[in-house]
Amino acid sequence: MRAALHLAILLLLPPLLPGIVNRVKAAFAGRRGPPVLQLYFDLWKLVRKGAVYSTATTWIFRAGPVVTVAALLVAGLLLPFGGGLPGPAAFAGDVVLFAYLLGAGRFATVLAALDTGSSFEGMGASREVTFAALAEPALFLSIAGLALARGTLSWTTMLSGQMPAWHSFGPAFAMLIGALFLVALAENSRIPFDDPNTHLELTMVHEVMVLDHSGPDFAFILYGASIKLFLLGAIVVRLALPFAASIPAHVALFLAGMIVFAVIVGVVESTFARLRMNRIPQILVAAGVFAALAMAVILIRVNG
Amino acid sequence: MTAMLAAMGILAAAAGSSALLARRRSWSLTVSAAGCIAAAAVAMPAALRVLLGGAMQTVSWTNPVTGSQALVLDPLAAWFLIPVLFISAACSVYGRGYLLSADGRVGTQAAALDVLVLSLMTVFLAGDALLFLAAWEVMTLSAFLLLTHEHARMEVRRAGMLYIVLTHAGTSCLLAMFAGIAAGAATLRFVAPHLPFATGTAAGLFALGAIGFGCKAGAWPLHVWLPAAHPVAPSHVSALLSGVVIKTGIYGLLRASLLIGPLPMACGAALLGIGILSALLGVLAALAQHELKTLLAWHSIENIGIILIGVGLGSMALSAGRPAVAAIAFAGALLHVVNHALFKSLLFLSAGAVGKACHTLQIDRLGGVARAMPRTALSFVIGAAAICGLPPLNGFVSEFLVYMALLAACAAMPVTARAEAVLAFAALACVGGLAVACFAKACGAVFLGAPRSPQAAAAREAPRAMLGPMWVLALACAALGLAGPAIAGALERPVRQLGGVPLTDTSAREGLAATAILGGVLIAVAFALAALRRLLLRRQAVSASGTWACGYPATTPAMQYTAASFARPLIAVFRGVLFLERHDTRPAGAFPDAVALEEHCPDPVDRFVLEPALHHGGMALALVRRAQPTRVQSYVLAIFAALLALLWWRLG
Repeated sequence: MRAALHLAILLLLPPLLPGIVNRVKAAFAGRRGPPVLQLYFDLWKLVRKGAVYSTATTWIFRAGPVVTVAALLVAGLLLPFGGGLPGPAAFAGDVVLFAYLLGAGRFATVLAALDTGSSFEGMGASREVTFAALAEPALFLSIAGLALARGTLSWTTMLSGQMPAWHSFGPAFAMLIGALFLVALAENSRIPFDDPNTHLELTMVHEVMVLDHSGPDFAFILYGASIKLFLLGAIVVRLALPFAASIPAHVALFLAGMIVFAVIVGVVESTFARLRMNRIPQILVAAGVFAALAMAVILIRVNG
Repeated sequence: MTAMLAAMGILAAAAGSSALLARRRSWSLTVSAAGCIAAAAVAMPAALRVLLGGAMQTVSWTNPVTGSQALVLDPLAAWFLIPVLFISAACSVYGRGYLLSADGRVGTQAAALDVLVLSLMTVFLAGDALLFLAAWEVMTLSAFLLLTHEHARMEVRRAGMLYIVLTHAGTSCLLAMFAGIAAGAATLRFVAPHLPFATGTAAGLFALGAIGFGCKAGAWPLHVWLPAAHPVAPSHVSALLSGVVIKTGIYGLLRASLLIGPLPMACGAALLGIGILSALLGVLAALAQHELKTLLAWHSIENIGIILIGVGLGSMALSAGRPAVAAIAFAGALLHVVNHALFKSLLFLSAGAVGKACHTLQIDRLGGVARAMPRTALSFVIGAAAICGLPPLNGFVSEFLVYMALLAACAAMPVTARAEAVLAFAALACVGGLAVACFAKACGAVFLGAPRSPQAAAAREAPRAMLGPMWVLALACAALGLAGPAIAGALERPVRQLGGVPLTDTSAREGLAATAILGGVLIAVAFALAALRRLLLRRQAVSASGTWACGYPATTPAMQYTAASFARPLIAVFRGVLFLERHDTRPAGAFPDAVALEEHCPDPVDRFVLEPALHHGGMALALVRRAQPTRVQSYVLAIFAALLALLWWRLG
C-alpha cells in the first residue's frame, strides 16, 4: 500500500514542479503564465506524435532517453517521500547507488547528444559533464556528513526523525541544505547555472543536448528532467522538515515542502541572473566547501 | 595442485611448440592460443575449488643451494589466478586474429604470450622469495618481448627501455625487501616471522615493497612507464598488461604485508594517500589525452589508485584494530582487481579493433565508427559504463564496496584516519564524475557523430575471431554486476586471509544483494520503457533528417565538437595540476594564411623529474663508461677477481 502510494507520487507528481516554477516566474514578471499542468499537456501531446531522427544517429541516440528515465525511476525507489513513506527499495548504502544512478542517466543523455554529431550538442554535453563532475564532491561530502551525523547509510533513515539530530548538528545541517540546494540547481540546469528558457543554443547546457529529440523521445527527456528535479528537491525538503507526524500528515507536509521548494526555485530564477560560464565552477566548489565545513563540524561534534 | 602443475606444463609445451612453428604463422598462433585456453580449462576449476572452501594446496621441495621452495595455492593466489587465466585465454584468441591480419613475424609473440601466462601463474603460486623473484623477472622480460612487437618504431623502443629500466629499479627494491624479510623469518619461504618486526623495520620493509610493487602496478608517481608502454603494444598485449600484469603489483603488496605482519598506521595512510593521488591525477591526465590507448592506459593508473585506496584503508583499519572495516575495504580492493581486469581488457580489445579498422587511434581523426562497427561500439560502451562505475555493471559493485568501507571508516576510526577517509570519499566521487566525462569524450568522439577522416569513414566491422573474446568479456562485466551475493561468497576466504575476519558486516553484504536486485530492476525498467516507446511510435510517422544546426544546412564533419574541445572546460578548471602547454601560430596581417593551435598536457613526473634525472644520470654514467673495459677477456678477469674476493671474504 505504502509502496503503491510512493510509486504513484514518483510517477505522477514530478511534472507538477516545473509548472509551479514557471507560474512563480510569471508572477514576478507580471504575466499570468502557462497553466500549472502545462508539462502534463506537453507530455500528452508529445507521446502522440511521430519522431524525426538525424541520419547521423545510431541505436545510442534512441536508447539515451529510455535509459535516463529508467535510471531516475530506480533512483526514485531509494528516496523516502515523507516519514511514513520509506524508499521501497531502501538499503544500507543506497546513497551511493542513488548518486551513480544519476551518473548513469547523465552518461546516457550525453552519449545520445554526441550521437547527433552536432557541435551545439557537443558543447552542451561538454558543459554538462564538467559541471556534474564538479558537483559530485559536494553531493558526496553532504552524503558523508549526513551518514556520520545519523550513523546510517540509507536515505530513508538519514532523512527521517532527525529532530534530535537537528538539535546537535543544526548549523551543519543548515550548511548541508545550502550545499544540496546548489547541487540540485546545478544538476537540473537551473539558474544561476543554466537558463532553461534561453533560446540561444550557444549558451545552453541541458536544453541544447536535446535539440534533436522529438516525439516520445522528447517526452521521455522532459519527464526525466522533472523527475530529477523532484528527487533532488525531495532530499533538500526532507532534510529541512525534520518533524514527525502521522502518515497522511507526513505526506501532506512533504508535498507542501515540495511546493515550497518549487516556489523557491522560481524565486531564485526570477531574482538572480545566470552566471558567466567560467564562474560556475567556483560556485560548485563553494558548494563543496560548504559541505566540507559541515562535515568538519559534524566530525568534531561526533568526537566531542 | 596437480591441475596447476598440468596447466603450467601445458603452457610450457605450448610456448616451446609455438616457437618451433614460428615459420607457419597461423599454426604458431593457434598452438599458443590453444595452450592458454587449455591451461585455463585445467587450472580454473582447481583455483575455484580453493576459493570456495577447498583446502589450501602445497607442493614443496628442497633446493640444495637455497633450501626449501614451494608452490602454494591459497585463497589469495586463487583470487588473482582466476582473472589471469580467463583474460589470457580471451586475449590469446583475439591476438591470433589481430596478428594474422597484419604481416610480420609472430613466433616471438606466440611463444612469449604463453611464457608470460606461465610466469604470471608462478608469481601467484610461488611459496618462497626466490621462486617469486625468478618468476617476476621472467614475467618482466616476456612482457618486454610482447610489447616491443613493432620495434621498428622509435616510440616503441623508447617505451620498452623505459619499462625495463623502471621495473628493474623496482625489482632492486624488492630484492632488498625480501632479503630483510628472510633475515627476520630465517627462511626464504613465505611464512609469518617468528617474532614480529619492530615498528620501524616493518615500516621500512613496507616502504621498499611499496616502491617495488608500486612501480609495477603503476601507482603515481612511479607510473611513468605505463602510459608510454601500454599504448604501443599490440592491443591484446595492452589488454593483458593493463588488465592483469599490473595487478601483480597489488598482489605483491598484499602478500608482502601478510609477510611483514602488523604495520604502523602511517603505512596504510601513506598507501591511501598514494591511492587518492593516483586516482585523481590518473583520470585528469586521461581527460587530456588525444590518443585512445594512451587515454585507456591513464585510466589504469586511476583504477590502480582506487584499488590502493581499498588496500590502504584496509591496512589502516587493521592497525586501528577494526577488522570489520578492513574486511569491507579489502573486499572492495580485491573485487576491483578482477573488475578492472575485465573491463580494461574489454576496452583495449575494442580499441584495438577500431585501430585495425581505421589505422589510427588519434581520437580527433575518428568519429562515426559505430555505424560501421556496431558490435565493437556496443562492447566499448559496455566497457566504458563499467569503468565509470555505472550500475548495473561490475565496476559499480567494487566501487560501492570501497565507498562503504570509507563510510564505515568515517564512523569507526581515530580522528585523523576519519579525516583522510572523508577526503578519499570526496576524491573518489570526483574521480567518478571525471571518468564519466572522459569516457563520454572517448565514446562520443570515436564512435558517434560523423567520420572526421577518410580512414574512419572506411571502417569495417572486426572479424568474428576478434569480436568473440570481446563479447565474452562484456558478458562477464554484466554478469559480475548482477551477481552480488555470489561475489560476497567468493570473497569470503581471500578477505579472511588478509584481514582475519570474514565479510560479516551485514550492511556490505546486504548492499551487494540489493545492488544486484536493483541492477536487474534497472534493466527491466529500461526494457519496459523501450517497449513503451516502440508501442508509441508504431502508429506514427518516423522520418529521417539531417542534424539540427540552427538552420544552417551545409554542415561538414569538421564542424563537430572535437574531443579536445569537449574536455577543454575541465582541463581549464584543473590547469593547476595538468601543466597545460600551448603552441600556437597566431593570425598575422590582413590575410593570414597559417593558423595553428596545439595543446598538450605532458606528464609532470616525466617532464620535470624523470627526463632531467635520465639526462644527468646519463652524463654521470658516461664517465663510468669511459673506464669500462672493451674486451671480453677483461670482463672474464673482472669476474674471476670478484669471485676470488668473495671466496676470501667467506672462507679466509
